[in-house]
Amino acid sequence: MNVKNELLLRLYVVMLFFILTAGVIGYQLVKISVIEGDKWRKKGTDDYRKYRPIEAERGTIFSADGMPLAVSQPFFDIAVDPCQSKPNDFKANVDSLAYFLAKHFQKGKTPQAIASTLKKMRAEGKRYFVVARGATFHDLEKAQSLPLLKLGRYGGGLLYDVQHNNRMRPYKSLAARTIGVYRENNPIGIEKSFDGFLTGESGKKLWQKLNDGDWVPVNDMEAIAPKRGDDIYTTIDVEIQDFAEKTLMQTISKYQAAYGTIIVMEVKTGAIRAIANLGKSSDGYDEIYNYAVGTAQEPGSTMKLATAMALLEDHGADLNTPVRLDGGKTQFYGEWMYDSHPHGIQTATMLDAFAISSNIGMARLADQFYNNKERSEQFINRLQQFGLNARTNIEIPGEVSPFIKNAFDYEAGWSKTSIPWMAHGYELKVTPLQMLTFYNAVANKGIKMQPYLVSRIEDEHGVVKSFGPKAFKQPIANLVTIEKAHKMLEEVMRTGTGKELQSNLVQMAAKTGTSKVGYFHKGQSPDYIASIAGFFPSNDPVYSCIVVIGQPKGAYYGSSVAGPAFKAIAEKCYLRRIAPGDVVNVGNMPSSTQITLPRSSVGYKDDYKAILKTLALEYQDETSSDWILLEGGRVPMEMKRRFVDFEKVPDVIGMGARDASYLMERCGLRVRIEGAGKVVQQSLRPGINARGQMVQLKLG
Amino acid sequence: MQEGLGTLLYHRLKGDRAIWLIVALLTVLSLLAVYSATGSWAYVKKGGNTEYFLVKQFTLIATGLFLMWLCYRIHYTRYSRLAPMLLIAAIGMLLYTQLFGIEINQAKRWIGIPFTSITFQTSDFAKLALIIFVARSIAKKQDKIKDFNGAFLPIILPIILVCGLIAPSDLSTALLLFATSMMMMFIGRIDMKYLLFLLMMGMVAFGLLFLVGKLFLPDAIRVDTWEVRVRDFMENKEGSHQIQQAKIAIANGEWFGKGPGQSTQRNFLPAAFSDCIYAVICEEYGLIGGFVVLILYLWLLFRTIAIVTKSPKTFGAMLAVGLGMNIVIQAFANLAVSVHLVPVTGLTLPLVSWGGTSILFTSMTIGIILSVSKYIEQQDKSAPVEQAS
Repeated sequence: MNVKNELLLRLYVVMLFFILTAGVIGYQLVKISVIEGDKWRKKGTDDYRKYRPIEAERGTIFSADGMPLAVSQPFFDIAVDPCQSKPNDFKANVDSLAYFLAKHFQKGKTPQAIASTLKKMRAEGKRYFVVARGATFHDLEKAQSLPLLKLGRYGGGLLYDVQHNNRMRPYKSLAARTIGVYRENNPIGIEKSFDGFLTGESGKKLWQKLNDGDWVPVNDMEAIAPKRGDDIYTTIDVEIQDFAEKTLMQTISKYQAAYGTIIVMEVKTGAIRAIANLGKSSDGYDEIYNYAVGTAQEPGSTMKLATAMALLEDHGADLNTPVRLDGGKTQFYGEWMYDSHPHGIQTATMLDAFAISSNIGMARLADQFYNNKERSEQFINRLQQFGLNARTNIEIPGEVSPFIKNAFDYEAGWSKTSIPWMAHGYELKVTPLQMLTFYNAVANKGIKMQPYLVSRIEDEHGVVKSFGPKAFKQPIANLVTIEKAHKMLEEVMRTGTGKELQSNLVQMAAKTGTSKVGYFHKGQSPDYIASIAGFFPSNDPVYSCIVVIGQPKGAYYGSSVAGPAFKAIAEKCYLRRIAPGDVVNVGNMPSSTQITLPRSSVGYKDDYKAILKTLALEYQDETSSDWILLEGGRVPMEMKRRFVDFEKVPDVIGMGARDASYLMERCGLRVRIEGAGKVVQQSLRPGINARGQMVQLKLG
Repeated sequence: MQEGLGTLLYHRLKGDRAIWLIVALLTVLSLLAVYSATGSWAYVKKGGNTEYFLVKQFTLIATGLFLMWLCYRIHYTRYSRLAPMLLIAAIGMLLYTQLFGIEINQAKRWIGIPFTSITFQTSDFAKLALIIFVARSIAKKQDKIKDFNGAFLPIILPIILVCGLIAPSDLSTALLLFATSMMMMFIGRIDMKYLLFLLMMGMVAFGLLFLVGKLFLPDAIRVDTWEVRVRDFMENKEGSHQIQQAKIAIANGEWFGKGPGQSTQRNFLPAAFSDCIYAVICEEYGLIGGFVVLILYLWLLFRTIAIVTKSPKTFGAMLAVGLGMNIVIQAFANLAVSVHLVPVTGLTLPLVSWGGTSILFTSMTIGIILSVSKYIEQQDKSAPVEQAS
């Protein structure tokens, strides 16, 4: 064969090879697309593969001090891909992995069975061995620490997905109605209002149906990780909220009331620190309805503050304006009106009439001034000026609008008696929160604050949105009126219906209210709503508060039913404010800050030990007594013995209030405490015998 | 204006005009398919910037065309003179890659170009260098081409060395290169019994490599991957997840395709824009489109074989057919994977797939083929008499 022919022959062989290859590829194309076409096209439909959403973790709802009120707890599906790991890793670890899987996750199976399953699956190229479904995060962490699996997704073949999230409430029913519930039907509370932020964005992951019908996740790069929802920081103060709920529970249980609500608002900001709602349910009392925002009712006597302020604004009356009370029983335009009890007083000043909560007094003053063609509208305008006809626009859904009829709106029921009855809180309706917003404005020198429950929204990068305090520009009344309003509310607590509520801890300013509901049903004993609204401390208000108890049994006066709860909350808030609760050592300390340790301090030894241990300060303890003098100013601090003779008055100078009063009482003395801080003065000299006597301690 | 440019190109560009046309068609197809197939990837990686991959691919192709033009401008005989140096450099680089290379996707195939962030596969360069060297050797030794010691041995030693260095991290490329070299020797009239001997040698070498990898160096030699892929292919009649998705794509296209940019499988098909781009082309342009691609590569091969028939036994002809076969074998290997004829290889579709520096080397390869065709044309016109170079 000559060279030319040999070359051509070989070229043709090469060409033929390529043509044949191309032919086989072409045939295969036709086979896939035409012959097997239907089968493959069917596999491409959603019956055989689909993107399943990966649920995003719902954001957390926090209290003002960062306590979680509602958190999402994810549950996982955990699986192993036995084909993923390298042969050596697999061989070395499969038996120990099987041992731990049998121990922690699949208790019914033996390690040998699991190991042989894993080996078989690896040999057959099967890639999804289920370890656990619906496992907790703790389980996942455990799985991540097991042999082989600790090599991770690519090294060890550990697969996991969030199966679903559960909503948890670490504080159980705390503020339940306000935090709300997220659910398909009828979601409520903050969970509903802020759902858009809390939800996050779900991700997606491709799942494929295997021939044996199992769905398995496919590892592909198209998977989109879910984005966690934002966190909501509320204004709720867990401690106050908890106390308010307990107080409310005690109160309504005691009076077997139908429902009750307590709201505590921060005067200067409008931040709601507590909002408790309890109603009668099949088993006792529960947070079943948000009465604070969802019920508008005739408020009764708490409304008298608005009446008095309207008169003051219009110079229709002043604190010392006399008014006839007719002994507590009179007629307006043929309708009888009674004071809460027959007091026999014929005439009083407006201040006194207000303090004793005389319906007749306030009705008569309003009737005399406003109940005529020219001024009726002015009265309504004043109520509007006080913001009583406005919704608060609190962030949670379900707020009921207040109802105050317009002057001469006969269709709405306006009559000659409207003004005298409105003057003491009837023929109009407001919610507890709306009423409190008005009292809060009075406390805040006439500046109305928008009440709010959510202070900020955060995602993983920080604050997304923040909601600061929002003040209304127009004061609700001039300062003179506001000052007189304060005086009237203080008078209530000093000499009036609230005088039994006086506290030696905190001065309060408040108005009680007792309103009759269902009074138009003849022959039926009326139900009452007992309430009290006000603020404290009266000289420099920090919190405003309203307590409303619906349909109490046995007693119904606002002062006796709702009053004690109000007082308890006022004292609690006051003590909380002076308690050193604020964290001062988070974040870097400015270099200019110098901390001086106290030179000396007296108290219970175990307390000091705990404190010094927490602060990691060194100390020397060579005493055996319970009570010690701690000498500071040098390191290590030295504990010195403090002898206590329980038959005599002890020396408590330098001690805290708790230790001092404990010791004094141990020694048979009664204690009165003034001020806050450490004991600087004690009224009985140490060392004398004085059992049974009263000792006054001055703190400073 | 466009006509003017077209006419200008037609008159200015010498060399095989069919090859120019094939390159132009594949390039356009590449831009269309890559833009479509990277759509959902762009959402994952680049926040929905779908143009990112198009612009990058366009830049690469433009750079490739420029390199192609440069290689085409250089007289191909110069490559012959450079061959030994290029081969030594290639072996050096392969060694360096094995020892200090950059690992991407668990394979050590890349090295970084100093002072840049660019990485490239050294095997791409070694391929080019080896084929040039083999073409040169075959042409030089044509007089004693049937000789064992005189021709066969000096030719096969560098082949075994280079393929052996590529194989541990990139078996597919090594096998391709080995096949290309065998075919070049076949066309170059090496004795059949020596070729069979070489085939056996190759198999023994592979066996050794496999054993070493299995027993001593599982990290350096990707024996596991080979096993998994072959096992997937042998045991899984339907194909792996990726291949099944590719088949769905091909079936979805039916005869005439769903139309440009209409692929839905790109959302499910792993490596839709690189290894599996052929399936996306079939989905969007149908079986017809699939056949056109097949025929374009076959046509490219025929054009290089035509060069051999014009000037047999020469370095230029050997070079052109060797380079041409290498591209087409890779192309067919890629298509064969997509239609489930062979195990997954990880080879891209030359000139079409998304993918970094390999586009540049493929462009240079075609530039060299064009250079050969240009000068052979000129020789045809000026001097019909052949000269061995």
